[in-house]
Amino acid sequence: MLKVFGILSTLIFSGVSWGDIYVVTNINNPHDSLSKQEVRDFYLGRRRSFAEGNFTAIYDRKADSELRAKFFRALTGMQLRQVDAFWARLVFAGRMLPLKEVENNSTLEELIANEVNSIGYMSSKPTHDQLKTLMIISTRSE
Amino acid sequence: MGWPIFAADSKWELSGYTTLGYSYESEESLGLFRDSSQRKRFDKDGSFLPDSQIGIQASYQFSSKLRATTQLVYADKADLTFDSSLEWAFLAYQPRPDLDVRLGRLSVDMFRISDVRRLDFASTWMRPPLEVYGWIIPYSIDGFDIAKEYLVGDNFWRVKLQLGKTSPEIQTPDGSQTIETQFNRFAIFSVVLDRYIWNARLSFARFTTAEIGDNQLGVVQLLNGLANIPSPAGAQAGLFADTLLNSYSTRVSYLQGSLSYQLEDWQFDAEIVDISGDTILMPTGTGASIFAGRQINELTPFLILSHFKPGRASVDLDPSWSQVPNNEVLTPIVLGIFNGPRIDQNTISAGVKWGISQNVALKFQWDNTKIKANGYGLWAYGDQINLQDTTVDVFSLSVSLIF
Repeated sequence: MLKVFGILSTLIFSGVSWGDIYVVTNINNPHDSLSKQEVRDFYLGRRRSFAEGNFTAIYDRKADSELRAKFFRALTGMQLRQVDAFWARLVFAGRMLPLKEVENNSTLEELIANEVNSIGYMSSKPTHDQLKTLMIISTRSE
Repeated sequence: MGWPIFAADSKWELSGYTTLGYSYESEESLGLFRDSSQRKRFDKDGSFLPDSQIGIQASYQFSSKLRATTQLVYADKADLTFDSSLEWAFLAYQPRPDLDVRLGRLSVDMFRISDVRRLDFASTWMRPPLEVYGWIIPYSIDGFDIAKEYLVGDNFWRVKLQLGKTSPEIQTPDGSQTIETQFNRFAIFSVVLDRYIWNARLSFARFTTAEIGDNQLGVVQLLNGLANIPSPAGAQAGLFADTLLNSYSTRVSYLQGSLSYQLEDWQFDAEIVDISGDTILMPTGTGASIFAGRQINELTPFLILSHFKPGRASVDLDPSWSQVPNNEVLTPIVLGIFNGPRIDQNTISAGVKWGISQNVALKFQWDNTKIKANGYGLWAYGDQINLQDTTVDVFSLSVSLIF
C-alpha cells in the first residue's frame, strides 16, 4: 500500500517525471522565446549571450538532480555522465568556467529576477512576476 | 556542474582531476610510456607511473571579461620541477562573449583533445591512442592565443590562432640522458565545427626545431671526419652529417583532421595527423585512429584501431662500417640518432569503461601493438635490444575522477 502511495505521490507531485521543464529569463529581457537549438547552445557552452552581445548568466541545477537529467536528456540526447564529461573538457581546457549551480526553484527565481541577461530552467511555471518563460520542454516522452 | 571543489557565487573556482592507473606490458626489454614527455623505463614491465596523475585547476574571475586560470599537474615527467608542473598560468580576456584572448602559459591546442589529454575521466579510453598523441611532447606553450566563435544557424564555429614557444625535456629511449627539446616560433591554427551531434576539426601547426648545440655539432664534425674515409661507410657518414645538420633550425609542420559523432549511447571518433619536415630529430609520418564505443547502462565497451606510418625509411649501415675506427661505439650512436625517433606500429585496443558514479570511472583496456623494425619511437628500450618486428600486449586498469 505504501509503495502504491509512493508511486502515486511521485506521479502527482513531481513536476519532473510527468510535467514540462520551463526555460526562463528576466521579464525585461528583450527575448520572448528561444528555439531548442538556442537553448542547447547556451547549455553546451556554444552561446554565452543573447543576440545583444552582453554576457549571460547561465544557471544550471543540482548536479545529480532528476530535473537536470531530464533537461539535458530532452535537450541534447545525452545522459548526465556524458554531459559532465563534455563540460569537464570545456573547463579543463581552460575555455569555460562551470555553470552556476542552483539548488531550487525559488533561489533560481530570485537570481533571474535580479539579472536581465540570465537564463535558467525549472520544474514548474515561474511564479515570480519578474520572470517569463522562453520555452517549454516536454519530458512526457522521456 | 557539481564537481568543482567550490565555485557557487565565489569569484574563485577550484577543481581537479586524477587518475590512478596500473599498466603491464608483456615485452621484457621494452617499457611503456603514455607520451614522450615521460621518463623512459625499459626495465619495468608493470608500473603505476605512465597513467597516474593529478591536476589541480584554479580560476579567479576578476570580472565578466577577465579571469586568471592556473593548472598544476603532478605526473611522471622527464623533468619533474615546479616549472614543468605548472602547465597553465594565463590571463583570459573576453571583450565580447564570442571573442577570447589568452596570454601566458596555455594548453597546446594541436590536435582534437591535446588540451585535455590528461583528463581521463572525460574519455572512454584508458589513454589517448599513442599513434596519434603519444609522440606529442609539449603540454603547454608560452605565448598567446585568440579564438573567435561564430553561431551560424545550427553551426557553431570556433577559429583559433595560437602563437608561442616551449622547450620541454625528454629522455633518450634507455632513460640515461635528458635532452631539452625546442619548439620555437610555434604557430597553431584551428577551425572547429559543432553541429548537433557532430564535431569536426581541422588544424595546421608549424614550429622551428632547436638550434644546433655544441654536442650535436661534435657529432656532425665526427661524421664529417668519417666522410673522408674512402669507402661506402665514408660516403654514408657524409650524408648523415648533412642530414643531421639540416635537422636543426628547420621547420616542422602538422596537419590534423578529426570527426566525432555522439548520439545517445553511441560514440565514434576518427582522427588523422600528418607530420612533415626535413628533420630526423622527431618522428615524421602519418598517424590515425578510429574509436567506437557504446554505453550500455553504466558500462561502455569500446574498440580502437590506431596506426602510424613513418614518413622516412629507416637507416641501415653499410657493412663497411665494421672497418670504421671505434665502430662498436659509433654504430649505436648513429643508429640511435637516425632510427630512435622513428615510429612504425599499429595497435588494436579493446576495453570497457564503468561509470561508477557521476564523477568517477573505472577502466580496463587491452592493447595489442605490432611494432615494425626500427619503428620503436613510442617505446623505452635499452642498448641491447634488437629492433626487429615484434608484438607487445599491454593490460591496463585505472580509476579516474574529477573533483
